[in-house]
Amino acid sequence: MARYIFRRILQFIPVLIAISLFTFVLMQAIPGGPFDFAGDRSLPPTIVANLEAKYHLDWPMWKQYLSYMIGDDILGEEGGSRGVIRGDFGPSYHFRGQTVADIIKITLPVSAQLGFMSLLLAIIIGIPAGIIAALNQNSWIDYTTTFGAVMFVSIPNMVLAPILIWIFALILGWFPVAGWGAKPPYLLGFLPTALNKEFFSHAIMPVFALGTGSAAGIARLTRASLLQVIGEDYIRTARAKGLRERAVIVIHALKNSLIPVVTILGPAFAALLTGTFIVEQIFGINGMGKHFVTSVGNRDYQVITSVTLLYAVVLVIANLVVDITYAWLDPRIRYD
Amino acid sequence: MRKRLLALFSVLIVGALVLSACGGETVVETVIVEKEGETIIETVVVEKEAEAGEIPVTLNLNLGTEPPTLDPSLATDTTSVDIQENLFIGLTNFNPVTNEVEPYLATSWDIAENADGEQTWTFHLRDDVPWVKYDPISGETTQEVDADGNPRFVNAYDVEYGVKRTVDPATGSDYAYVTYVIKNAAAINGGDEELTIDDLGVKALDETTVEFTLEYPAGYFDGISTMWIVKPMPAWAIDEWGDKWTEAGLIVTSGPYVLESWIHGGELSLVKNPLWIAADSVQIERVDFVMITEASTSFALYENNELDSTGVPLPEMDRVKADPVLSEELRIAPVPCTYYYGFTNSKPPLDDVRVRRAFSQAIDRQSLADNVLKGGQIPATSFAPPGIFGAPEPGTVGLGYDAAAAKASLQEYLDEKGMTIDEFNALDVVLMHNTSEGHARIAAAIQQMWADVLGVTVRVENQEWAVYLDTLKNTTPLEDMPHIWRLGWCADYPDENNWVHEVFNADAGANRLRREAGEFDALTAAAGIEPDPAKRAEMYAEAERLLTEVETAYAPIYHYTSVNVSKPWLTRNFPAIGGIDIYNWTVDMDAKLAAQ
Repeated sequence: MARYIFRRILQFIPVLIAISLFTFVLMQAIPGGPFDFAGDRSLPPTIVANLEAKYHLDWPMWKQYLSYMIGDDILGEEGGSRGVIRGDFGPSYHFRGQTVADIIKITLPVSAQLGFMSLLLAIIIGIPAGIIAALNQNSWIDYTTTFGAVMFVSIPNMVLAPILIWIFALILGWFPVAGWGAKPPYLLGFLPTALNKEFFSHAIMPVFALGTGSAAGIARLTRASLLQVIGEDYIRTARAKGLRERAVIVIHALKNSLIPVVTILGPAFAALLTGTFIVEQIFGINGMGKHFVTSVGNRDYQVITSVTLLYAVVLVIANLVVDITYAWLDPRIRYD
Repeated sequence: MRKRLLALFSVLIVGALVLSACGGETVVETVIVEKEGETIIETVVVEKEAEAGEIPVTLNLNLGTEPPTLDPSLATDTTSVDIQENLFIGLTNFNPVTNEVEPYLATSWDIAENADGEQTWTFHLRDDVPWVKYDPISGETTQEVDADGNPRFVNAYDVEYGVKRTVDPATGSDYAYVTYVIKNAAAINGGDEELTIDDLGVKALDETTVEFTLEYPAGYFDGISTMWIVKPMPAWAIDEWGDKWTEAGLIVTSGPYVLESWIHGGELSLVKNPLWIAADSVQIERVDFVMITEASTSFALYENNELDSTGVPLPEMDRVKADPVLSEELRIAPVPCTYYYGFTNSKPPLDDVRVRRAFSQAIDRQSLADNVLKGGQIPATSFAPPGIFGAPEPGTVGLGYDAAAAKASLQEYLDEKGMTIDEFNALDVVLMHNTSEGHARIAAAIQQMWADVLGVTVRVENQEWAVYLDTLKNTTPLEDMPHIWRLGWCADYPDENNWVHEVFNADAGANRLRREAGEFDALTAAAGIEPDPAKRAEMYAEAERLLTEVETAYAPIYHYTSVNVSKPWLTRNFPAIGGIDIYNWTVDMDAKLAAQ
């Protein structure tokens, strides 16, 4: 197992290099540079030239990429970049004076807190709902759960979020309209310092908006998967040897049926943890989601490459964890 | 199974309640700490005891976005300028109501000609404006002192430093081009090897006198002297902290407010500067800004009394106008910006003035403002909006909506070319805008007007903003250029020179219209250096007329407005130009607390 994990981690390196290279090249391939315009106006060529020289955008692309990845001193060039390999993600071109590391340090913890709670909510609601629906197949419980799941999958966040604000913040006044209850600095760099009323009252609506969609998906998947496993021969065998129905379901069926669910949890974890654009925007949450979108429009090359790289790192690690979980869930899977 | 789930939930709920009970009042601060001999900036959590006594007079506003910078040399956007207006004093300032240039740091200024025949502007400064720094730990604002322990006041050398810093190409200032009117600024900023930064036409003659030498006479230089890029800047603080000098706890400022905290992308707070020269007249004691992009969320916060003033999202417009309370709080204020459709003047069939005239006259600008924009926008027939020096009144110069004239103009063209309308439509005229819901709505309306009035079909395309600007460059091959394209322009300083000359002059501007230089271009160049204001205004009016009525090189569409709602307890201004003047506003705190 240890050897397997080590081998997988080694495989991450070319994957991450490829992703950073692709992002970097694709961004530079789009017409227009970060300094061609300021807001809603274009800038004269001399100004653009000064800015491009300041940020080394006048270098050939391969050199810019290496400067970003390994740093200027290794490259033998003048410049302050220490490279991604030493934790320097470069400056932001749009937010002058801030580095990409500054931006990630402030926004990633917020997105991670929101994403983690949403995923937890999705699992807590989704898996039991799926099990209950499957065990009562074709009953009213099943139909209600399925209806609820289809409904929550279908309502996009951009509709659900304003409705939640309208009902629970404006009409009932139960929760604050917008914002996030935790502020930097964070415990261990990512945890809120106080889990108080302030924190939870701000979190409830965005977590609900983000979590229910995933919960509905998980419920549907759990139901389908459990129904399939219940039809397998070994379940019939377990029943035939006289096991109680509860033991059959909990010990034999449930574990196996979770494989497809765990499979989607990996990417869902990565996606939720690194921030979601719409929910964060509507609830005015200072998360990382917006940087995936706005940095493309701003041509903020270092920001988009860095957040993409970060997303990729979380994704490959989450998938590795998923693969390890398979071995525990299904004794037939062995990594040796 | 069910019992266990129930137990799990109970534990979670109890846990949450217990945790919520132990939350304390914590405040985040940026501090400078010495660690292992190194001075570093750190954010820490400080437990602050709730201060007894009165709640400070507080203003709550939404910035809409993170200000890209608080560095006066680097700002380009209204968000950054709004904050800087309250943090830094400027050489001069616009009156927020009349838009006239008023003394600020400079109490008076003279215009003269030097021995070389160059125009000079000499500003006489007051000597009592302190440079201050706010300490986030103690909450105190203290005056800066120099190496010898003398208190620092804003002086002429700080102005000279600020201007030189903006022009220095190493600073990378986006707006440096606005200073090109200063002698040698364009050459130095363009990297001229022969000149050094000391050849720039700005010099502190003594502590309270600064002299600008201009490249060419410019009657509008007082407008430029209000701008953030020529504000005095604290050289010692910038040298010490580099790019980070604008962070809370480090920034040295000179204005009515100081920066209390700045959580990037989230919140920013200002508190009143007690050492400010006119501190007694500043009523609002603290300003808490949030940065919420979503207009509907910002509006919801306003309705919940969490914001004192905000913009009105377009979908809410009809409700606000109909609501008896909200309609009282609504304020539509003009903004010195103009929305226009440019014509590619060298691309057939738009190379013929009759076609361009037909397209311009077929646009019913009033109907657009009433039915599509809904924010009281002013229909535009010329470029510079009211409030700009030399701008003609809207509707007095240029071509408005005239369906019959438009139709006749196009028919004349078709007859001469021997074309039918179908053959004209086969030319596939393209209207392009940058991707945005608002622009798309306007384009669809105007496309329909052209179809209804002229019978022409125009194809609408859109591109993402940076790609779009790249397309519109005048180096783009003509066949890739759209025939008609949308752009807007906002005032940097309130003078026609910043409008018709800098934008449309074929020699001075980007010439996206792809015009041949002619009478118009000679006229705007001459108007810029004309000393007599009355004569200048006349020349600009004529230039506006030439470009719209004679050449119809572009179609002005509307002048922008800002649509805001403000709570009754807030008394505020809506300055058309420059940043928001919070130091002049007042909040009736009793009324505000009563509403909450």
